[in-house]
Amino acid sequence: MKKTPFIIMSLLVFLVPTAWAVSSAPTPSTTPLISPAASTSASLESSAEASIKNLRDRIASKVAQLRKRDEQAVSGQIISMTDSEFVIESIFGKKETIQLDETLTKYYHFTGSAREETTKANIKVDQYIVVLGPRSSDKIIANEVFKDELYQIKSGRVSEVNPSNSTIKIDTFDKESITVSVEGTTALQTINVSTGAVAGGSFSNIKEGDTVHVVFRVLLITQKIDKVTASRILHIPVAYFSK
Amino acid sequence: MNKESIIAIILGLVLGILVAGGVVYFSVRQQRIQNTELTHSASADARLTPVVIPPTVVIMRALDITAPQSGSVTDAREVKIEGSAAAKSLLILQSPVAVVSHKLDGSTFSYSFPLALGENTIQVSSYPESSSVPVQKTIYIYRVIQ
Repeated sequence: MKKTPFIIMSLLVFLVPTAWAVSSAPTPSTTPLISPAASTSASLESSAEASIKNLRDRIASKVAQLRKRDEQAVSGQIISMTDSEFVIESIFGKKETIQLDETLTKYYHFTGSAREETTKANIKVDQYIVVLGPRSSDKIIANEVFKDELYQIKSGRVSEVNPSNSTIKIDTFDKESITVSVEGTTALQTINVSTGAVAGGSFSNIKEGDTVHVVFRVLLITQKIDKVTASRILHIPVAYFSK
Repeated sequence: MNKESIIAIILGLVLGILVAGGVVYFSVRQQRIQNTELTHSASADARLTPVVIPPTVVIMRALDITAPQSGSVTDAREVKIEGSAAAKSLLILQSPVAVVSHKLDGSTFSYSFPLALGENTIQVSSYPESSSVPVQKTIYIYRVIQ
């Protein structure tokens, strides 16, 4: 009785490699054979190449998947760059090293509501970028690099209104003094005093003592923010708070 | 000894036993009462032992954003901004592409807010009912097309 498992194991050990050998043997070709030896060699070579390509694709796909899984976003202005790295500085003054990969890192810029692929050559020092990729020790390994723009929002009280040059001076809640230029392209909205809803606004309605929230583009994170051009202003009349 | 003498002795003995029993009973009872008072007193002392109660710190969180987390990455065109602020405050959500303003009835809020491609700087401001100075928080949401 004790011999039975031994016999079964022996049979399996014998049969499995035989079955594998039979199944992996090249299938007979229907094309005429010129030289059986040459054909077998060519077939083996193409099969090996296909296998290598398949393996390479699967590894690349797996690597991309793993990199996506741990992906995070960082943003900042490029302060230095080499062939393989960017160093960026965030608006909070934090520096990050971005590791670039010649084949895996993709570069994009935004065009309205779409993105277009670009090249690393189109990205220069001082460019504000958003980077997606996993963090590895103290570096971000870039999957995607997007050219972007930095915006900031400041709020404060209007201390001066100059209709002659369409500017207002505000004392921000962060204790800064900023001169805001209001242009034709500035989206100006106001808060309805009774409902608190947003409605269309006008520069002429802004008075000293009113509160404003100003959105503006920052060209360089190191620049002193004392004079900005507003891309959007939300105006809250002082009457809203005194009702 | 005549009959009367014997009766008198018996009555004397009975009375003596009764008096002795009464004395013993009352003395034991008095002792018990004293013991009980001492126990109560000890319990009272125990209750009077100072107990340090940690002060209750009430933190009034005037503005709290529960979702989304700053730094989130999404491919959606909108994001739901949720949180809480002081009741009846004027709540303003502002970014380079949109502004939403609403006077809160309660203290919680949830608004859909449009996103632009790339980095979205969203400032959330809450003006409490009796104040013209806002409580503000800024979150950064990244919208990308995968």
